[in-house]
Amino acid sequence: MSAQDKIPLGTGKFFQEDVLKETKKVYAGMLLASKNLSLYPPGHSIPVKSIKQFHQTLEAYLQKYEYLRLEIERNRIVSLDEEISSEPHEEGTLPFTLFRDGIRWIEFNQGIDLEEIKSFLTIVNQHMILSSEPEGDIVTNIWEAQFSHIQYDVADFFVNADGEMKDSISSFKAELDLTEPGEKNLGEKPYDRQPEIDPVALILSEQEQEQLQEMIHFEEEADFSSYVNALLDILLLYRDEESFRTILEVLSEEFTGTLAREEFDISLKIVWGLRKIVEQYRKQMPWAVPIAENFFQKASDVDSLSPILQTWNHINAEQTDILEQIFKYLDGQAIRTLALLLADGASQRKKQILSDSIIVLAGKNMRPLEDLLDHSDEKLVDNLIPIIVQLEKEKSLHYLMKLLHRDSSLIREKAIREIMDRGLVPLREVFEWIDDPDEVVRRLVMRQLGKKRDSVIEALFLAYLGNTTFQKDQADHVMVCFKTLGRCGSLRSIPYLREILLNRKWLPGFWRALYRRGAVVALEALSIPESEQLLDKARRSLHPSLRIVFRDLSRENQKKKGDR
Amino acid sequence: MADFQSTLARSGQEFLKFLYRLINTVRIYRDNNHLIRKGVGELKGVMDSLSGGDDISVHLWRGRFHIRGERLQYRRDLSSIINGMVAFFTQRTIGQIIFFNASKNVSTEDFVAVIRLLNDSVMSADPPAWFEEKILEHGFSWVQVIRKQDEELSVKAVSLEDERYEKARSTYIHAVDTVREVAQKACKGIVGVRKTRRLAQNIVDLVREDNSLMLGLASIKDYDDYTYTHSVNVALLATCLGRQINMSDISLEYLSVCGLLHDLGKVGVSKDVLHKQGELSMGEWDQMKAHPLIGVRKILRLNAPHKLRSRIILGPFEHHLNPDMSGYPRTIFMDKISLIGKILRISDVYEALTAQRAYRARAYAPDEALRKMWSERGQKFDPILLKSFIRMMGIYPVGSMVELSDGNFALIMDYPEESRNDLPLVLLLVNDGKGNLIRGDMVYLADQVAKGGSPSLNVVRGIEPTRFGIQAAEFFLHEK
Repeated sequence: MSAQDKIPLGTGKFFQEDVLKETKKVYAGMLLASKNLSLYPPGHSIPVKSIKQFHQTLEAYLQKYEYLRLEIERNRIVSLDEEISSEPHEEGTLPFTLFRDGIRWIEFNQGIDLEEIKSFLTIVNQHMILSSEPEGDIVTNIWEAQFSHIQYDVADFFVNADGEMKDSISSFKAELDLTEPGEKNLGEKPYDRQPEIDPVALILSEQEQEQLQEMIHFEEEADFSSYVNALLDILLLYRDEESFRTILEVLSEEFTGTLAREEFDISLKIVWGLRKIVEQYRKQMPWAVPIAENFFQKASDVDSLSPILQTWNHINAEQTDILEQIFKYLDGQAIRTLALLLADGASQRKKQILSDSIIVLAGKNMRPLEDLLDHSDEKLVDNLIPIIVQLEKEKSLHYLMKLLHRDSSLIREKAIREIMDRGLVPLREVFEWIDDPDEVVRRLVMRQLGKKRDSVIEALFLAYLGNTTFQKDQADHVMVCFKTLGRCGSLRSIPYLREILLNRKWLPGFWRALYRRGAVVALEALSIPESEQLLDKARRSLHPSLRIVFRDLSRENQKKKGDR
Repeated sequence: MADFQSTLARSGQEFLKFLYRLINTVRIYRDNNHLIRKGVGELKGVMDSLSGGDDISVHLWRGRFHIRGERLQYRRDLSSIINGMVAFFTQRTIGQIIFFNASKNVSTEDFVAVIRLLNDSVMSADPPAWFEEKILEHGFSWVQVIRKQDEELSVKAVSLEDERYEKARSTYIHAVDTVREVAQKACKGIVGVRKTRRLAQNIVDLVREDNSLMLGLASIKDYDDYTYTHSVNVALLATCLGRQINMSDISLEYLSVCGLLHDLGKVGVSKDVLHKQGELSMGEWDQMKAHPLIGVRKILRLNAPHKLRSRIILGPFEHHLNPDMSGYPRTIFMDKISLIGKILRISDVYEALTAQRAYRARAYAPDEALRKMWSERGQKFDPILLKSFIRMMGIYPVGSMVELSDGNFALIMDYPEESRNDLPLVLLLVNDGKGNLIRGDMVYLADQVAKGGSPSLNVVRGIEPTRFGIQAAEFFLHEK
């Protein structure tokens, strides 16, 4: 539509000044709406209100004048040969944004609705904040938006720098058929004469029309599965490293993209298909295998899998099942993301999926799990312990043992408990940890050893206490050993404890007092009739040194109670 | 007043759309077809809301439609309909059609009869008079046709057409340049797709405005730059076919980009192989077969947004695959060909058959190519799309050189809507006395009616224009 087609303003109906004033008002409303749209989040009341206001102003204008055409110049907007607004020729201004991509004028027509205005301003804003986009431009976005009431004109994109258009069409010369030069009649060698086409046969039946509509619908609503299938086929056909890498780069982007769009079935297709291809290539093209493995490593890192961190808690059961399959095709690197998901809290079913997946992935590559155990915080490691114990016995023990030296006592305790509960280490070996240099490990081991009556542990303690020569600074340790003996011991300990308590007068004073105290503590912890009888007997002893032991212990106990 | 105007604008556009659709539907189907009944229902529905109890006048004035006295604003997506309606009025020298208020009570059969009369009036020497006579005969007093009054209409229409032809012409030239540029740059590194996209958008706009013009352009053959002109021609043909089957504009944009880039991989194939006369060796054939793959690699390296990239890979990859997935490249993961791939396949083969190639004695004439493709429908081409393609092209496509029943040669220039795709507008080619064929008159075969009412001049067969050293598109563009 040319400008001359519609010149209601030229009829003398309106004063130019009034029209300009109103045009400026509409333009100001547009700028305000545009600005608010860029400043506030989607759906916020302020941009909604200002778009509404702009729409009202524009509608009133269009009812009166039929259309609003804004001519775009380098640094200003013009309407009816008058400047409406001028702004510096720089990024972020409306004239610059429109002018940069060659828009010559924009025209708003009657019937424009709120949605159209909003879409238009959104496109404009998007391009105002972007510097020149190599991939697309504002013209493309406006073209694709198919506005019904916004028209525009674009400078010829293909005009040469000198403004001249090259005309090479006249140089397209037909050539005579050189195979039969000079022949000017129709005596050419005929191809096999095909039967004539019956025009009636060209009419589409209703069924064919439906099939055609289906084809169009499928094309226009298509997800990315056909595209991914094609990429996999292409990958299978390439025989050179460079092309192989190119496709894998694209597939890598697609993988993360499909995860972000929650098109998990397509993500699955990518990793499944690629594993299949790698298997096929393993013998034919061994060079391709490390490149493909590199894809899996990249696809398994936290960056690639990060979209799942946002969606894991709201996806449905079917999607979760697909993700479970995806996880199993990935590299061990994925354990990092899965551990984060695990720490995030989720349903039991989802936890189970994560746990199973981590076990499978750790089977391929333990390193990421090791790193996590070494460097993650208490909560994350705590979540991993139930998974570690499901690994093969040796691996499980290896990691639990490592956890014995974590800062967190909670983790160390859990590790010890798991080791002992699951019998991962023979008791004799566990018992040796009571001499561990780490006081906390010693204490935790003691606590575990003293959890129940156990004749083996009892025997080990009796032997340990009977045969070990302690240093004076181990007095506390000795006391803990006695106490633990009391907790895990039985009647069999009574003779040894009686001996210490009532005899052994040959021991030096410090050691005699310490052992006696230990025996009392052990007997109290044993808490069986025989131990009670022995304690009664000791309490009634005529030896002051023995009574002092009870007195001191009683004071200590009272003090502890008071402290609590 | 404002409400009335916006209702008028909306309903007016709908009215023209439904009228245009009905005009074309009655050309194809019998009266009892459900599409015809539906079409009449839609048209009468919008007439109810448009009339407000008054008569409805559709007036073509200076190339613009006015309905009930108000000038109609055009939406971009209606441009082909508007152009079609302008042509419909112009060919019949109709200035105005008035549907009187009583028209809302007429039967579907009567309505269809009037539309058929309007269609058929073009066969008469004086369509408005013929139409008046016929409606009197049938007693259709609820409709009236007024002859075109001013001659400016045609002047205006011509200037708009000139503008369009110039745009089409420059788009074609730049399309060839752009494909060449992308192909050359893609070999060296990353290239943007902005230019290709804009070009595709221009093609879509032009196809929407004038399908036949773009089909005519698609007959340009330049054997020096064959790969590039072939690509542009395929893009034009494919976009026209996409438009024919009502794909959305955005899909048409993708389709057009696919057409432009579908043979990018051939740039990597040596010219010796591309232009080899005779059979290719196994190695050479492998090279040829690799071109879709090489093309895909180049497209993937284009700096294209994700969505665009995902939509422009399939077509170029699939354009040598048959519906049953035979052909090349072989596939394992894919189980069906995309619509874009199927369209490209048809457009590519048609364009290639009608071009002079080193490996065969001569090019197929357009009608010959269509017949050959028709004989391979189902095996090599999707039959539904091929039907649509041949319907769009006409059995003798626009740009074809043909022999007429009087022995003269002519170029097919257009198929007016009412011609049922068998009575085209042709440009006669006459002998200049030195053995060369030059431009003669333009003739509507539909106007050449013998006394019995049947056409006196027919197309007998297609001719391969390069045998006469003729570049059909040159004639086509100049005449247009």
